[in-house]
Amino acid sequence: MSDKKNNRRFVATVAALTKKPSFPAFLILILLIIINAAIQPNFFTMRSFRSNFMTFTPLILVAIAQGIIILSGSLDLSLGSAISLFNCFTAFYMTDENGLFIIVVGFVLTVIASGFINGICIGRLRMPALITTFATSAIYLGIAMIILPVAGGYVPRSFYTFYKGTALGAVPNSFSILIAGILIWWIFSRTRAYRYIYAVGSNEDGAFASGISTWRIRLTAHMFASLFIFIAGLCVLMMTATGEYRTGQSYTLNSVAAVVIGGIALTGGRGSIAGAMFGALILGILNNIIFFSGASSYLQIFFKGAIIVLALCIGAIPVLIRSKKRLVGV
Amino acid sequence: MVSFEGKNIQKRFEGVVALRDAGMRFEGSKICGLVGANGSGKTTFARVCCGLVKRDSGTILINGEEVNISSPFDANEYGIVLAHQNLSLVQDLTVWENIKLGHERSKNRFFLDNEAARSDAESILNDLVPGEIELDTIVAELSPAHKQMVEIAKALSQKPKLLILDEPTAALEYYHVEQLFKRVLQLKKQDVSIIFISHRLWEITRLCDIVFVFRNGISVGAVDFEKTARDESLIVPMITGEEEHRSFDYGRKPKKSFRGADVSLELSDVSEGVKLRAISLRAGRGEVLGIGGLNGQGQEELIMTIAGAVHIGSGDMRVNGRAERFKHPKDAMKKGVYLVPGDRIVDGLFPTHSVLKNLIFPRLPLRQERFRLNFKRCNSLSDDIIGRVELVPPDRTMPVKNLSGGNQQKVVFGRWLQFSPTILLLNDPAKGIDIQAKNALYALTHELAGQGTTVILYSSSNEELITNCDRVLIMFEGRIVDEFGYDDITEDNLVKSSLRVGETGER
Repeated sequence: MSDKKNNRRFVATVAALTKKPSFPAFLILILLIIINAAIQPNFFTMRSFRSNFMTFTPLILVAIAQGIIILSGSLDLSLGSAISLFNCFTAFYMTDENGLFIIVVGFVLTVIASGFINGICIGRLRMPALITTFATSAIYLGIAMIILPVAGGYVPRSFYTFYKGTALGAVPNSFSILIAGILIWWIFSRTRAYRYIYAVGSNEDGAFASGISTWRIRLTAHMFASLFIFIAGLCVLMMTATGEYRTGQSYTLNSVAAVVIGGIALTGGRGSIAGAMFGALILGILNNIIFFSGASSYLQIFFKGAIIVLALCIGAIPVLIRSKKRLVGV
Repeated sequence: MVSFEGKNIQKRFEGVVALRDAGMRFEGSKICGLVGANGSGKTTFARVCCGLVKRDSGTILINGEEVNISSPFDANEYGIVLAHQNLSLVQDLTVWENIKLGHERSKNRFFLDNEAARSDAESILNDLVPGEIELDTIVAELSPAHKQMVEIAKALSQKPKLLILDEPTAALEYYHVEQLFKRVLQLKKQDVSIIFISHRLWEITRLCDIVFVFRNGISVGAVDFEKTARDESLIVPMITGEEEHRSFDYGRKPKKSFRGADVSLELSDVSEGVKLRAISLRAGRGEVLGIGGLNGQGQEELIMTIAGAVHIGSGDMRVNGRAERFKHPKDAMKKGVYLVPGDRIVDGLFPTHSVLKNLIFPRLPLRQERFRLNFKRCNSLSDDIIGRVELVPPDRTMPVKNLSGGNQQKVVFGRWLQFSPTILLLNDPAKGIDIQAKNALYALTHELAGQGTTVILYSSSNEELITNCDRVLIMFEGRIVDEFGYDDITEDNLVKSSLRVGETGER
C-alpha cells in the first residue's frame, strides 16, 4: 500500500525532474561520462579524478559565476580577461614571502573590476551588458598585457603543489576548492538576494513594482559572481604556475557555453546553477574524450559547437511538442 | 484607515498629461469605486498612490497628515498596496515565491524562512480561492484568472490598510468575481479600505460604498451610494461627459434574415485536443455571429483556428464553399480571413512603430506592394483609414504605444478596412477600451457586415453580444452547447446557458 504510494511519488518526482531546464544537459553528461569511461581505461581511478578536477574546477566555477550573472538578466564577457588580469598581476608581483598578500590584493582587484565596475555600469547606469563587458574585457586584458607582456612571472612552489595535492586521505585539493565554492553558492542561494536575482532576470518591471531595487540586485549578482571568478582565477594560477595574458581568454565563451548547455535562458530568470555546472562538466569531459580518442584537438571546437546545438535541440523538443498545434511564434 | 485624501494630483509623461487635477477623499474603511474611460488616469492615480510613479504636484493626506510617498517602499510604510492590472508577477517563480516577493522574512537575518512563507501564502490563497491553486506551480503555467488571483494574494500578504485593486475583474470569470467580492467585503470589516477600479459598472454599483469618476485626468465627481440609490445612470453621464447615455445609444443591430444559400464560413466537426470538440457551425455573408460563454471555454482557440494561427486538428473548414486548411495566418489572410487578436500589444501591433507602418504592414505579406514601397499611396491610404476609424489624434506618424487603448484597437481594426474582408474575426475586441472607442468599433463592424463581411465576434461581455449579433453560439468546455437566434439573444438566456444552469455537472 505505502509502497505503491511511494512508487507513485517517485514517478512524479522523476517526471518533474525531466521537465527541468537542466535535464537535457544531465542526459548528455551521463552519455559523455559513459563514452569517456569506455575509451579511457583508468577513468574511475583517484588519479584521473584528481587530474580531471584540476581542469574542471575553474571551468565549473566560471560557469557558476556566469550562471548567476545571466540569471539576473545580465551577461559578462569580461570574465576571461578578469582571470587573465588576476593571473598576470599575481604572477608578476608574487615572491616566496608575499604570496598571500598579493592574492588578497588580486582578490580586491577582481571584485572591483569584474564585480563592481561591470555591476555599476550595467545595473545603475543601465548600459547594455553585452557591449559594456566587451569593452571592459578589452580594458582588463590591456592592463594584463601591460603588466606582463610576455609569459613568465613567478608562482611560489607551495601554491602549485597544493593544487596538485590531496588532503583528508585521498580527496584532491582542487575538488575540495570546488566543493567549497558550491557550498558558498548554496548558502547564497538561500538568501533574499538570490531569489531577487531570478525575479529581476525574469520580469524587471514586476520586480520593481514588488519593491525590489533592481539595479542593486544586478550589482549584487555581478559582485557575488566576481567571488567565483576570483576563485577560478586562483585555480588557474595554481594550475598553470605561470603568468600569461592569454590564460583566461577561453573561459569567457566556455562559461557562456556551459550556461547555455545547462539550460539557463540567456534572457534571464530561468534555469538553475546545477545546469550550468552540468554544462561545464560536459565541456570538460568532451575535452577528455577528444584527447583520449587520439583525434586532433582542433576537433574539440567542432564538437563543442555540436554539443551546444544538441543540448539546445533537446531542450527545444518539449517546447516544440507543446506548441505543435500553435504556429504563431514557431 | 481613518481617512485618505489625494488633492490636486498632477502627472505628465513626456508632454502627455495623464493627471490634470485628480483626487479623492473618504473617511473610515470604505470600498471606493474608481471609474472612468480609458486614458482618464485611473491607473496613473493608483500608481501615484503606491509610489510607483512620482507625482509632479499635489498632496496625499493620510489621517489628515500630509505624507511623502515617492517609492513603493514608502507606500508600504503607510499600508498602501496596489494589486496591478498588468501583473507584477514573476513568471519563472512559483506561486508562493511570488506572493511573498519583495517582503520575504528571514529566519536569522540571512536565510529565507521558506516554511513560514509557504504556510502564509497558503492561508492567504485559501481565504481567496480555496483549493484551486497549487503553491508550487510556476506562475507562467497558471490561467490568466489564477494569475490575477495570485496578484491579489500578493497584495494581501502585505497586510494593507489601503488596498488598491486595478481592474482585478477584467481577467476573472463570474465565479471568481464573486469570491473576490466576498473577500473584499470581509476586508472592509477588518478595517481595510479598498479602492476598486473597474470598467464594469454593475460591479461598481453592487460592491462600492462611494464612487469617484475621472475624466481626462480630472476628478469630475463622486457618487455616495450610502446616500443615493445604487444606480449606474448616476455615473455614466460623468464618465462620458455627455448628458445622454452614449453607452447604449447605438442601439441593437437590426434584425436581418439569412437563407442557407449564402454561407461564407462552414466548419464541420473541427476538434483540437481538449480545447475544441466537434465544432460545427455555418455563418452567412453579412452575418455577425457571436460566440459567448464563460472565459476560456475554447472561444479563443476557435477564433485562432479559423485565423490559421492554430492547426485544425481534425475536421473540415470551408471558406466561400472551398475546403481550406490554413497552415499559416498568411494563408488565411490571402483568402480574406482577418483577425483582430485579443491581446493587441502582443499579437496585434508593433507598439514602437508609427500608425502608418502598422496600418500598411499587412500589405507586405499580401504582396500588395512592390519591392519599393509607394509611400505616397501608403500615406493617403492610411489617412483614409485614420479618417474612417476616427483615430485620436489623427496623426499617422505617432508611435502606436503612445495612443490610448481604444485608439490602439482602432489601428488594429483599421488595418483590415483597406481589404474589404470576407471574414473578420474579433477576439474580444472591446476588452479594456473606453465607451467611445467601443461604439466607434462596433459601428464600423456593423458597416462591414452591411457590405457583406461575415463577422465572428467573441466577447466576454454579454451586452456586446446582445447589441451586435444576429446569432450567438455559447461554448462550454470546447463544445458549442447552445445557439440563440436573433430574438432569443437575451441577457437571461446567455447567462443561464453559459453557466449551464440546470445541469448537474456530470457530462
